[in-house]
Amino acid sequence: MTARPATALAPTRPRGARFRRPRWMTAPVAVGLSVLLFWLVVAVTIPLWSPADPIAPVGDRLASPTRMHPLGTDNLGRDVLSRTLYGARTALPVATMVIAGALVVGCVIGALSGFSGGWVDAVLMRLVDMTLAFPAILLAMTVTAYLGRDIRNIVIGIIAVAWPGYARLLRGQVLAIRQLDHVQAAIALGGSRTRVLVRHVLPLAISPIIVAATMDFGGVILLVASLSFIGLGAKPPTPEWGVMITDGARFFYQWWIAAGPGIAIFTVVLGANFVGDGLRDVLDPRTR
Amino acid sequence: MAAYVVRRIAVLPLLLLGLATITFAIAHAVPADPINSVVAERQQNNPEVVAAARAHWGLDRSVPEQYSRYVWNLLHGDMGTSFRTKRPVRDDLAERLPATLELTFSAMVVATTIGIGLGIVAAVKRNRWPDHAARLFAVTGSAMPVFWIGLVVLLIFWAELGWFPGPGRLDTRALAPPRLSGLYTVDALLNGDLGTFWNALRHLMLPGFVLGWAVLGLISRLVRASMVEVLGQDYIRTARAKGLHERQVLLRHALKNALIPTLTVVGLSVAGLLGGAVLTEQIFSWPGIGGYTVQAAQSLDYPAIQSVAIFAGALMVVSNLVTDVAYAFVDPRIRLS
Repeated sequence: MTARPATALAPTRPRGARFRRPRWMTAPVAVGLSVLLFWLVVAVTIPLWSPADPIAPVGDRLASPTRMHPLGTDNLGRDVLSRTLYGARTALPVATMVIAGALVVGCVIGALSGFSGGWVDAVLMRLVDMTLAFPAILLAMTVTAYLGRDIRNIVIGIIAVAWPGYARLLRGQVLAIRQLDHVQAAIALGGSRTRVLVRHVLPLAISPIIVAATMDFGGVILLVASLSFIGLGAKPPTPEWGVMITDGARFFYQWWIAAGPGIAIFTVVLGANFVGDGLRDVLDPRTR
Repeated sequence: MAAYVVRRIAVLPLLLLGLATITFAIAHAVPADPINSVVAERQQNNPEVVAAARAHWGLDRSVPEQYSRYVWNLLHGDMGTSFRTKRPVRDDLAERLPATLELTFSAMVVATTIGIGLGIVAAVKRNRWPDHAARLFAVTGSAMPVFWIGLVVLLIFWAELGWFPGPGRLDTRALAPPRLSGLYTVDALLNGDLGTFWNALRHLMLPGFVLGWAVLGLISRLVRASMVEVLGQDYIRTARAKGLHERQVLLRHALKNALIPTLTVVGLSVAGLLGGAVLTEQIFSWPGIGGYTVQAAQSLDYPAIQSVAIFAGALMVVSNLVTDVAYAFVDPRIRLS
């Protein structure tokens, strides 16, 4: 996607416009951010204004949408809309934890690899290659299945497949930045490895990694939902989007059961991808 | 070139050993005791039964011994015995492979034709509405969970409109063609049975479209980018200047060159196709490896899950190799060494 920020090209800006839109704030980024912000607000505040209880039955079973229940009720008579909104309280923190975990693991390994060189580097990078050789969902599934059915294990399972990207990225950055004069100077002045890495290398290396993490957010949401859909995730009463779609598949003709969570996943992923693409266009010099 | 291919093939066994090592490491790094999924819960207090089960599945041996046996067996094509079906995983996979191949191949056809078409349109009508529409279509496919698109598409085109048949590889009353390749469409044709061929083909359309839609974004994006680049070249201006029909310029002169980089992306989509097949098959009750994997995951059938992961990893490694070599074939500027 090579959507240029329109502002970067437009030469004519009304003089004295007081509010200057930041360069990265293109239309898709703005849309994506608002969608993500919407879900964030929902996740935080939903207990205060939820239309109905997400766990307890509140009406007839499998009732089609009405004014009381705009997305109908599921096979246990629970309000689908409320469950969908509550689903954000699982999806967003889980995806954030996955990204954070993968970032930590990936950055530690990438930095170690780039800074050490030699056999440490060789071994770690082969591990990266090997892990990337599996289709992500299958490896995540294997790890999660071994750990047992639980949303926490999904987090671990996805971290296990998501870290190599960051490790490879950071290693490349470290190799390049290590050669820069200020880093050489810091090493010559006797700075410890960790200090040089954290103070002098990481700040320069971080922006492509942030872009990559943002772009991965949507994919992680999809992976979490997929593993839950398969039955490896959240345990039944928890309102979780993947599990809700499993119910929707069982009660196929009651389309509204899967509609809520499906649209929720779609909007979050789309929003995250828009923001990721926009950030990449601005922060990542390679795509300019 | 030949030396390069030989070298790449020579590393293949090492790569596969790496894949096997990773899955083995996962299996042994986690605290879960596989005995829990082979011995019924009320038998687990019976030490004799547990010991017998451990001996039977080889779980009483040391880890290095288990590892070497595992690799040795894999080398002989033995992927272990499924906890769930109690059959060799290899047989289970072999039986289900054709269904998955047929599905992923259809999806690949959908993804490349629609992806390339969208890419061309988007590049020609750059920054106008067809470009935006093409992008929206591609982005939508990759942002929706594939199992949910499957449900929606089934609901609309099968349940509501009745344009396409529902889940499964054939109508419920239809008989499968005699098994030669296991691919229903091919077997039906070989058998001269056009009715069954059409039946199988129609059943492939919805799942093939759903899975193809999910992965075509990468392809259309790349075709667009390389078409834009190629269309700016001098020889395109020359072709236009000598009065060639625009369609000829686009398809004969531009597309040919724009497709070269696309080849790598098609190779990369294999990962997405294999992963997506797991979920698509589940929704379309497709009797392939994907559905098998889901059942294996649900019943914590470790040998089966592990084997599918290795198998898919091996497929990806091989498809990467094929892509790299094919790339060198179509683009004479690339010298592999």
